Amino acid sequence: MARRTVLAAGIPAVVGLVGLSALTNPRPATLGDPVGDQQLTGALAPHLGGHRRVAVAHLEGSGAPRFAGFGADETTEFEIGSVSKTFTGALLAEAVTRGEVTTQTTVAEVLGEDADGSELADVTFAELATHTSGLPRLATAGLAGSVLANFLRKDPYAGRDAAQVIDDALGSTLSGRGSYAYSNLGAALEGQLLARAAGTDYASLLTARILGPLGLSSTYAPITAENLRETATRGRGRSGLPQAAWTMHGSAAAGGIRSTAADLATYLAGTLAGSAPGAAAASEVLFEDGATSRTAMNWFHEDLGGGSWHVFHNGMTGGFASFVGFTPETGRGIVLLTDTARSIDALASDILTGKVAL
Amino acid sequence: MTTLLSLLPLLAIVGLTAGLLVSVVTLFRRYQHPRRILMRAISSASILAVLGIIGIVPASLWWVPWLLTLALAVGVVVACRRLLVQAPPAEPTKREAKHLGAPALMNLATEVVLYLALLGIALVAS
Repeated sequence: MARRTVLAAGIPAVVGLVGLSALTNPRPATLGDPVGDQQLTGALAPHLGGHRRVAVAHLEGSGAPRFAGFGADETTEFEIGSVSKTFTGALLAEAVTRGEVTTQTTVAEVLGEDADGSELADVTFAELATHTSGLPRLATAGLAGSVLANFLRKDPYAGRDAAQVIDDALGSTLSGRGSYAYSNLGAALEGQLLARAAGTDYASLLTARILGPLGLSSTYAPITAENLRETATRGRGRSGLPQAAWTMHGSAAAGGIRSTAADLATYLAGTLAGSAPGAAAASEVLFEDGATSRTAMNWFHEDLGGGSWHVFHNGMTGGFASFVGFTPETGRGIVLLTDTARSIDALASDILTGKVAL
Repeated sequence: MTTLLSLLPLLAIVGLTAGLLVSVVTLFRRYQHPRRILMRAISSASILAVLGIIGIVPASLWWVPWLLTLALAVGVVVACRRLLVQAPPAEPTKREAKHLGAPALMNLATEVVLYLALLGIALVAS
């Protein structure tokens, strides 16, 4: 066989094989160097296999929070994903306090004639905040684009602005209203309705009513990628491939906030103590789903087996995972942030219940 | 049914990995037409890319695709060297004869198009 013929096939074969593999093969996860509280890092490191950069804040009673991290510290910025919904819940509680809305205010009462003819017209804030509105998890409009964006490791929510999210929700068919069914679309609509009721946009409302008063200067909702700060880190999917930032545009109220362990510790301490703006969101139960599960304003309450209620929300984006929770009975609180889209819920639950002692 | 659905990713991984292993063994053992070697490499690269892009390989098994990539690359080198230093079997069996012939151009073109599409996705992604 002619050498030239063989090389003409062999060289492209090897280059093509190795080249595409280099772009798409999974990357190993190496946990970053421990920083901060050594007792925390020592206790947590064995449970963080598959993660890279992790930041932790631990609260116990009224003491000062303890911070630790792996390749990150309490000032490192992370996407917090659906933990953002708790901020939207706080905005709802704050709006109720201000008399702008009540938990029984309906979509039609906020949107007026825009809601005419929609199945959603008489859905209340309470239903949106507890995932019992009957709205689907995601809007069907733009679903193909979302799937493609997921495939391309982009933000699947980026293409829909606030007005479009409201339109998507109004055009949705409700199913199983009154029963619990997790809905990002519902939480996104909740945030947009609160902004509409206050006469502003979601990011401005969040800053004015929650972030500003609490001094959470490292927490923000960028809404679009152009507004990401220079501190914005980039996460990795489960396979270790880099992911685009999820700013989520019109759906930011459901998962588009970025924050740090330090800011979330302040937020959590204020919520636990009842002193933070909208802290009632965590304690005012609006829906009971059995003996061990209930929902406040975008905060979940669960009895994880020990007879104590734990209050929490978890989150995940394309490249990050998060958990923020506390146990009112003990005053224990935990913030876990990772730049790998790999759930840390089991570890966080074990910390809250004391199975993992910190 | 639910159990079956939850096992689907695992079954997909096992099936695709088995296909890749067949390619590795064939490259190492069979005298093949050069275009068949190229097609097998491109096809295997596409399968590996699908596994990577979908992200269904468990994090603890991240090394498996890399090991397969290495085995396939070495397999291509071995298969090409065989073409240069050995004569094809004089009286090939039916299976050997199948490997000795060039693949249909349409099949090769389909594999190249799929490869280029996945390359495009990999370059655009993130």
